[in-house]
Amino acid sequence: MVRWPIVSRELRAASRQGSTYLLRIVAALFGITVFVGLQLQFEVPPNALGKALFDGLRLTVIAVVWVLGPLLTADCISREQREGTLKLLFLTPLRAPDIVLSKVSLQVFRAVTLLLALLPMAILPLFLGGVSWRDGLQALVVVAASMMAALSAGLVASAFTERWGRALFLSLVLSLFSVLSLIIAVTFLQTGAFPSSLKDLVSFSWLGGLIRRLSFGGMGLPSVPLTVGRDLAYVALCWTVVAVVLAAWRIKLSWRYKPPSRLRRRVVQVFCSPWLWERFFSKWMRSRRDVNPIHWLGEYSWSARLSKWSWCGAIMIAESGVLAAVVWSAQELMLWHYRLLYGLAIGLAFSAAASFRQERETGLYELLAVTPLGGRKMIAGRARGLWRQMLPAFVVLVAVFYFTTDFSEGFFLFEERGPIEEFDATLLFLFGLGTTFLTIVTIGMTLALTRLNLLMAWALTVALGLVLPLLLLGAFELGINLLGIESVARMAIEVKYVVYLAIQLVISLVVGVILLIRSLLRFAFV
Amino acid sequence: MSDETAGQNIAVQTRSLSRSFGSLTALDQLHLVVYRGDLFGFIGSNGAGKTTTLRILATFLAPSGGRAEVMGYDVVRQADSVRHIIGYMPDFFGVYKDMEVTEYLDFFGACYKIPSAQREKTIGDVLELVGLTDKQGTLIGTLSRGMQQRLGLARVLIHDPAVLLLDEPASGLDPRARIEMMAILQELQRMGKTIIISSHILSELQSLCNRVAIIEKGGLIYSGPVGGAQEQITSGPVYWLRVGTDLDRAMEVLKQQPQIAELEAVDSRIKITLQDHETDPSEVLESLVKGGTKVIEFREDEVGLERVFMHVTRGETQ
Repeated sequence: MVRWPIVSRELRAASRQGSTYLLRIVAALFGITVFVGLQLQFEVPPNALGKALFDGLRLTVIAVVWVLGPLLTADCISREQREGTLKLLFLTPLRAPDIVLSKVSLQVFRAVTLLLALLPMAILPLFLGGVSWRDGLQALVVVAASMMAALSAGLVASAFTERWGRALFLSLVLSLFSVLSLIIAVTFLQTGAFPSSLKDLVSFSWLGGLIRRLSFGGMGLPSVPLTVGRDLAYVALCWTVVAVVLAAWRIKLSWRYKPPSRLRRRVVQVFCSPWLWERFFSKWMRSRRDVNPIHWLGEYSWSARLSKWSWCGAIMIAESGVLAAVVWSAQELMLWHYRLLYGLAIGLAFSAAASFRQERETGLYELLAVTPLGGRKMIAGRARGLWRQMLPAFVVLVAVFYFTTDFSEGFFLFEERGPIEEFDATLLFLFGLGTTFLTIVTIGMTLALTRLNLLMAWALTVALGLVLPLLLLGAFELGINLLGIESVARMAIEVKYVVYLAIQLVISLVVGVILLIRSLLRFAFV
Repeated sequence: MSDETAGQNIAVQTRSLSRSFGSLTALDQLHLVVYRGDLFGFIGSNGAGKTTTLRILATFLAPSGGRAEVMGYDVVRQADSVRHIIGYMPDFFGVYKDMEVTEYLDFFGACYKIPSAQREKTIGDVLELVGLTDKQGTLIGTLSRGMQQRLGLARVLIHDPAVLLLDEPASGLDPRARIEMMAILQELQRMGKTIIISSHILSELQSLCNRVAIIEKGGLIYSGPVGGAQEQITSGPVYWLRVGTDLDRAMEVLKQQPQIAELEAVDSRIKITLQDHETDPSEVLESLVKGGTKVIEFREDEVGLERVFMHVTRGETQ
């Protein structure tokens, strides 16, 4: 049963946080960006503009729901666990399901307010015409079902860990799992059979493709009957019930602090600790601790090692899926690699923005800051830690890139050759990787040392490090076109990419000089 | 003590130290001197500026004005040197719950650039000092609050600092753990460390510290020996007398004594306030005995630090 005091307390707290209002603006901006981006991809005849806008809006809302929903929910219970307020709730007559249901209802309310930020855009298609009430109803059902499933993903993630960073990451993984499970379940309910092959699931070209599948009739696809929406709602409802039960069970078990169980310690000992050469590894880790303790800090725990190899595993799975499932052209393959690189960059942005969060939240940061390590060594140690965390994944990515480009198209990045002849695609890829890493780490760590919350710091890191250079590149091209400089206007894509990287570097330099070095010189980070 | 000798003996000194947070002035022109080997109690109500002062001394916070020196090093310009000679324990400090006790200390040992070969022995020594030798391989998350506090103290000592800055080190501890913590601090003082300790448990500071400072609203109200603080609130020492004979008769005898400033009968006892701190109380006792009074009890009224604190901060804390 929903307990209003909890909802009321959370709403009051949220109303006092600036990030609540900022997030609404970010959601609206995100929506507008995706919306405009989708419209620009397709040439729409004027008489079909209303329908096209409606479809675009539907996709946008679903994208916002699936990405932002889990992220915003991810800290709802973990924060209570972290701050020790969950046990205070349990000392009252409240039961675990009451707490979870109250949290869910609150998050639904918050998600609805975020969606309201997109409302002004929804009015446009109605004026333009071409949208039936059935379309509207179907869209509403799909959005509602997506919202329930996405929030449930965040809720489960939040119940299973008390660290915000882990909860955010887990929520995104569960969100992806939810999308796939919904597709599979609805396909089964509609056709009586599961998707025939992995290709059916992985042959989407971008997140929009995945969403398009889920939204049943997006860009250029025919609408489907309301029964699909109904089935989707059933599945999402089941998933929500399971998520609430799971979260309630988990917090009931975990609200009292208990040392790790014997089983868990055994699992860690067997799977996450060295069996052989224990002395060697111990000595090795100790020598790393001597070189830079902060760097060692990013590697000492089994969860840190697990995270490092998970990134590598994820890239290997993605590469295997890409290479095995579909016949790709050389250009598509390369584009895929760049997408994977940017996927890693988004992950790296998360790790960089999460730097020293645990220390800042627990007060450990104060202890580290008064050691003679100094700001520079702390920053360098953390940057090395981030680099080593991603290194296996980078190696796999570059190796596969090298072999696929070598065996397919030779050394040219794209079929349309530009003015740079004999351009080494792998070198350019490596250059891009290095530049992106530098940019993301500089910006991410700088924002981590500010008072921004993790979600905002992460979003800003991605925006400044990856999106802003793209926008600036667009502005640069537009300026050149306007000036009528013919030869420069027809730049090859390699050159555009190099300009993009240069802009990235300049941004990271500016951010680094203005903020990071200033923080270092300012004696301490407070 | 000559100025030069005093200068050499100074461990911590602040001059016109100020710190503001926006419009709030947390420290206002604080002048403070702590001598080497002192166990120095830092007293003040919540928000008085104790933690801000300790944070500035620990190089964690830059002052808005004034200067602070630790062992002659300026905390702003020579922060690196200061960090080597101080051990700072904040009122609330985190631990890596998934680390083992020795791993945690070894990590901080590495942060303090202690050579690897030396660290092992040092860790053993500090764990022995704080009584955690049998917890070496234990996960920190499984330690009790008191043990974590002791581990915090071990961390502070890992690089053998000359000056310890301890912000509420006994907060949240049970009576036994508090007494043990105080015993460790006394042992550290005997080892020659200078210790600045802020605490709200004034009775403990009274028996523990040789000097105290009382601050209120960012300004210094008193700094000096504990006894001096007590003298500050009374014009003369106060004694309590219990007699076995007639109370009125004893009062008559006492009224004739010129060294007594004030007399008051309270229940079955007499409260005697002497003229000043130079007066010899044995003269009063002698006159009573000569006058035929049977004295059962004659003891000095101990002015507790709590009373001193309440007295000197009167009006400030309201």
